[in-house]
Amino acid sequence: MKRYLLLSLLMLTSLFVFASGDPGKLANKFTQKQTEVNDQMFKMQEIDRILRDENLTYQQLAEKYPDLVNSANLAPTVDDGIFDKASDSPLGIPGFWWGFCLGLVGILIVYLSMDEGADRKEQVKNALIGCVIWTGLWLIFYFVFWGVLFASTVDAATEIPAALAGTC
Amino acid sequence: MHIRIKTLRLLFLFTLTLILWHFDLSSQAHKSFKADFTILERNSLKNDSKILKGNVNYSKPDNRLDFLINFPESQKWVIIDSTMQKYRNDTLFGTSVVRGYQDLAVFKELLELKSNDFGLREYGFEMADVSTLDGTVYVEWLPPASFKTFIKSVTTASRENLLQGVIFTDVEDKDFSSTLFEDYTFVEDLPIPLKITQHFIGKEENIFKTIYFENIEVK
Repeated sequence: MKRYLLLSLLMLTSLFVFASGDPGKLANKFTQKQTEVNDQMFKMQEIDRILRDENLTYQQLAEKYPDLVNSANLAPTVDDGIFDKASDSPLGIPGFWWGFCLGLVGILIVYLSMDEGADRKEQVKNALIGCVIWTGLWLIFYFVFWGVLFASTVDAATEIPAALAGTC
Repeated sequence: MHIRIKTLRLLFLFTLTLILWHFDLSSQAHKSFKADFTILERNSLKNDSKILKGNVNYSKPDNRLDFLINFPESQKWVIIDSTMQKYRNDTLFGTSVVRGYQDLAVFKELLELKSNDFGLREYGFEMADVSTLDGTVYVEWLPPASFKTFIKSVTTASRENLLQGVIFTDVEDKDFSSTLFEDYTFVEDLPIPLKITQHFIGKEENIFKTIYFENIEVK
């Protein structure tokens, strides 16, 4: 009985040892991430410190610390790009596919469902490209299909003159 | 690369759904959050950066966010659900639909940070491993089947029952999304990190972000 208990204990211990992750490694992962972000944000932190200490507007900051502003390529205006707008198209589907799948109707959907601005212009343009590509593909398919059909019809219907056949 | 974009979008959708779901079910008494904020953002791939300073007021019952921005220029943004209206000198000059609003999620998260697992458990993530070092508890979570194609694991770190960080690792063993919560303070019994740092890796983005909060009011 003792032997079984000892064996069970040993198994449990070894299971625990092998199953548990290395906390040092995990701690390191978080510390490294912290360091990486801090390193990348060093210049930004410096600008923020100046803004807090001197209470400057963007214009004043750019005039007083042009090198810092230029090297950080600091945006002079507010844009809502601080929010991820990657899926800012109808239903999150890129404009190209609206145009590609629905043609002119797709372009219209993109145009009507988006607010006026650069985003709408871009998405409508993409929808137009999608529509043109679809039309191009359709035309190629159309001509190839009819071309092949026509050629096979001609081949089947054309009899090779016996004189020529004899030479082959 | 397409997989990376899909991954980020799905991760975002996951986070957003999770937070909204939490919000709907939450019986927390906290209804609003108000604070001065500073957002520092740098995209190291494009070498551009942004600083945004102002005041934010989030109302949970109305699902409304008001931003009063005073740097780099004065503007007011009102976001209700996913519609954003932008005002300059009290004049409306733009309306747009914001679908990928990660920063809003941050503000919403703040009222729910008492859960130190980032809500992973409720979303079907399973605890795979727990380890402790110097008072910090590290938990490795494995995703449910629907996330297994792009998330290998999620690691959370918590100390004194407060979430310190969340790192999402993809199937290629890359940490593609990390959020760290620091300098906790308690306002109305609600733990609020005064500093949040984030790192997202995308197709054309390698975004580092730090968000600071000051003068916090929670009701």
